[in-house]
Amino acid sequence: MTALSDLRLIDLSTNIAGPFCTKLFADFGADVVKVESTDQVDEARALGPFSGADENPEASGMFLYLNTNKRSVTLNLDSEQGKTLLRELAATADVVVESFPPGTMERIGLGFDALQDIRPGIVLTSVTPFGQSGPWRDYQATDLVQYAASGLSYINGVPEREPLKEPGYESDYQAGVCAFAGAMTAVCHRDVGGPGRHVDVSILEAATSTLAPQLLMALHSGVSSERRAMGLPTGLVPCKDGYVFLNVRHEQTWQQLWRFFDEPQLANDPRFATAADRRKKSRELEDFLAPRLARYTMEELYHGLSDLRILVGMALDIPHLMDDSHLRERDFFVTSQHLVAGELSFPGAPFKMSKTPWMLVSPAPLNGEHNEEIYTGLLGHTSKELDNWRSLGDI
Amino acid sequence: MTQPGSTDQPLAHLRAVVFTQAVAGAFTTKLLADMGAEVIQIESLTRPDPIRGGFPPQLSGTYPDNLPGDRPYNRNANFNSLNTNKLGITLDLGHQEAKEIFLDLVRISDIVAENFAPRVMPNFGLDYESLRQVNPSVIMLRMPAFGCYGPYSQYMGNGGTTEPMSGISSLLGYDGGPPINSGVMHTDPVAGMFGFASLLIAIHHRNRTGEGQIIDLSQQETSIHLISGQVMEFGMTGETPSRQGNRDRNMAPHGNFPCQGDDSWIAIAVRSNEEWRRLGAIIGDDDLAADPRFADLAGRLEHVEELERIVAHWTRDKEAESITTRLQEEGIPSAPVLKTREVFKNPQLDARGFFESVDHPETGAFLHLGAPWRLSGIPARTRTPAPGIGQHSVQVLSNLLGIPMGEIDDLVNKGITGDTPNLDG
Repeated sequence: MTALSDLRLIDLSTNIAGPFCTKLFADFGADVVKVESTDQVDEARALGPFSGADENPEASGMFLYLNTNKRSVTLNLDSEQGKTLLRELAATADVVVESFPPGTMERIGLGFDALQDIRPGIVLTSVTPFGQSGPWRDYQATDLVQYAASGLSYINGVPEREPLKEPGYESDYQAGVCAFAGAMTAVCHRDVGGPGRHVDVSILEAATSTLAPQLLMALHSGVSSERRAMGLPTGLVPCKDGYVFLNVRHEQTWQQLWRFFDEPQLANDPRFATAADRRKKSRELEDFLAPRLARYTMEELYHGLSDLRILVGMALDIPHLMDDSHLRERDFFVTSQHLVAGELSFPGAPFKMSKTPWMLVSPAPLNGEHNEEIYTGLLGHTSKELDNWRSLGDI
Repeated sequence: MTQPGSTDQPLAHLRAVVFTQAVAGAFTTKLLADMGAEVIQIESLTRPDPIRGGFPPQLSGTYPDNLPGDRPYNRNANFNSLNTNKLGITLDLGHQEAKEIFLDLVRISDIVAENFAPRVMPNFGLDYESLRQVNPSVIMLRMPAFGCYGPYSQYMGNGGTTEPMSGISSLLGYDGGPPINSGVMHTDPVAGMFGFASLLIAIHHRNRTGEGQIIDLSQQETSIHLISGQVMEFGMTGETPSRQGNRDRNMAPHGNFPCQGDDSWIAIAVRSNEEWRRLGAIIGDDDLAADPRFADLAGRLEHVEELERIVAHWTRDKEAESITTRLQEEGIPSAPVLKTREVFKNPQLDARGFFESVDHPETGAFLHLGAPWRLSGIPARTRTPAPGIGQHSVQVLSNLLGIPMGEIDDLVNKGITGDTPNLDG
C-alpha cells in the first residue's frame, strides 16, 4: 500500500515550487488532480529541456519530472462553469495547493474560509515568492532574486567577481519540500482531530533557512562573511582529471595524507605543523599539495583517502553523476517512457521507506488528459455536459 | 516536567527520541519540535554534538558577544538555533544500563532519528530490529551522508563532500571557470527538510495502519533532486550541463549587477519581452526598449554581453535598494544582493517574524531562524530554548521513566548521564 493513498489534492500551482510539493504527495500515493487553466498552461511546460529544436509543451523535461503520478484536468477560471467545477473538485479534496499572487484565491471565491465551507478540515497550501503578508508580498521574484535576498549569493563565488546564485532553480525545490512539510504537518494533526489550516510558504524563507550558520555568525560577530568559496579549507582543489573537496586539518588525517602520497616525511614540514597553521596558511598549503594531487584522479583520491578515514569528495559532473556506481547500486535514477518525449532518466526516490516506498506509477499527464475520467467519473457529470462545456470554452 | 508541546500544536501527540547531531539531522528534528512534538535529544558526555563547538582551546562556534563563557557548549549559537523546543539528555551508550534506558524511551516514543555513520547504531546493538522488538510500530529515520547501503555508505561525508558528490558544485561557478562549493554547507539543511518530510509520510501511514517502518535517507540523493532539470538535460540532449554564472537559458538579462557602494550588487531577472520593454524604458529611453536586437529572448541571449553592459552601466552609480523599489513598482523581479548582516534588516523577513527570539538561561534573549512556513492558528513557534547539555536528564529519567533519584545519582557518578561534559573521556 502507499502511505498517502487516502488523500486527494487539487493542485492549482504552476512552475516549480508548488508542483514539487504535489509531486511528493503523488509519488507517495496521493491522488493529485492538476488543474491547468484553458488559456494559460503551466509555465514549466516551457522551461525545457527539450530533446530537439521543437519546444513541444508536452515534452518539457522539467514539467515531466515535476508532474509524475498526477492526473490533469483543464478548466477556465474566468468562467462561472469553470469556477463551479473547481468548487466541486475542492469539495472532494483534503489539500488544495496554489501559487497565485496573494489575494487571488479570495478573488475567485476560494479563499481559506470559503474552502472550509465547501470542505470542512481542508488544508490550503499557498506557495509564493515572499508569502501571504508583509511589504514584499506583491514583489516579483525568480530563483536569482531569492538567493540574492537570502544572503547566499553574496557568499557564493570569488571576491574579485560578482556574487553567484545557486545553479538552476534550487530555491523553488526547497520551498516545495517546505510546502509539503507544512501541508503534511496539518494533515497529520487532522488525523488526530486537528483543524483545517492555511499553510503559508515563502520561497525566500525556504532559501534563507539553509543559511543559519552564516547568518548567526554575522549576527553575533557583526561582520558579514565574504566570498571565498574556492580552494582550501572549505572549497575544491584541482587534481589530475577534476576537482575534489579535502579536509586534512586534523593531525591524524594530515599524517595519513602524506602516507598516501608515499612521502611521509613531508608531514613534518614546519610551515604546516599544526591544524591552526594548516587553516591559516590555506593558500600556501594548496600550492604545497597541488603537484601531489595532480598525480591522482578524482576516483583514486576518493577511494584511497576515504579508506584512510580522510574526508574527501569528488566534484562529479552530470554524466559522471548518472554513471556513479554508488547511486547505481541504490537504484537512484529511474528511467521511464513518455508518450511524446520518449525515454527519460531522472532522480527517483528522495528517501527509501521500507513499508511505503516511493513509486513511479504513471508519467506526467498530457494537458487535460483526465478531463473525461475526472469530470464524469469523480464528479458524476455526463459526456454531453462535457461536450457542451468544451464548446463554450469552460474546460 | 517542562512541556514543550501543548495541545494546540499540530504534532503535540508525538514523542521522538533522537541522536541527531551537526546540521542535517538536527534540522529535521528541530522542525519536528517546532511543530509541537516532544523531542528528546540524546548526547554523550564524552562526545557531545559537534555543533556545540567543542572545548577550549579548540573552539569552533559562534558565541553571543563573542564570549564563549565557562560552558561554551551551552552558548554556541549554531547549536542553540538548531535545537529549539527540544529536551536534552545525556546517555553513554557504551554502558548496558544506558542502552536499557534508551530502549525504555523507545518503548514510549513514536520516532527514533539519527544521522551517525551507518555502522554506529548496529555497533551499539541498536539496529531497527532491536528497536522493533520493544516497540513494533516505531518509526526509525536514518540519514547518513550517503545512505545506509552502497559502496560509499561507509565513507565519511558531510555537507562539504555531499555537495560536490551531488553534482551541484559542477554547476556552480563562472562561465569557463572551475566548479565551486556554495558559501555555506548547503546540502545539510536541504537533507534536513527532506528528513522531516519523510517522517510525516511515515506518521500519516502509522496513523492509518498502526504500522511503523525504517527510512534510509542519503544527503547526496536529496540534493540531486534540486538539480533534476540539469539531470534531465543530459539525458535528453546528450550535452553536459555547464557552469553559466548567473545566466539562464530562459531569461535575459539575468544577473547580479554592480551598484554604488562597496561590493554592492542588485539581482535583476527579466522573464518576458514585456518585462524587457519596461526595463528598457526605465534604464534608457524608448530607443533601447525598441532595439530589435533585444526584442525577443533569442536576441537577448545572442547579444547577452552587450545587454549586460547596458544594464550594468545603468546600475553602477545607483543604490541597490532604491532601484529595487523602482523596478518592483514596474513588476520586474529584483532584489539587493544582501550581505549576511543585512538579511536581519530585510523588512519582509522582519514583518513576518522569520527570526524568532527566545530567552536562554546562558545567553539571554536569543535570536534564531524559525520554521520556513506558517500555519494558521499557530502564532508563535518557539516555546523553549535549546537545552544545555544534559539539562533535562534528571527530569526525563525521573518523571518520564520513573527511575528513582538514588539510581540516577549512581548513573551520574558512573558518567553515564549528567550535565557536565567529560573532556578526558
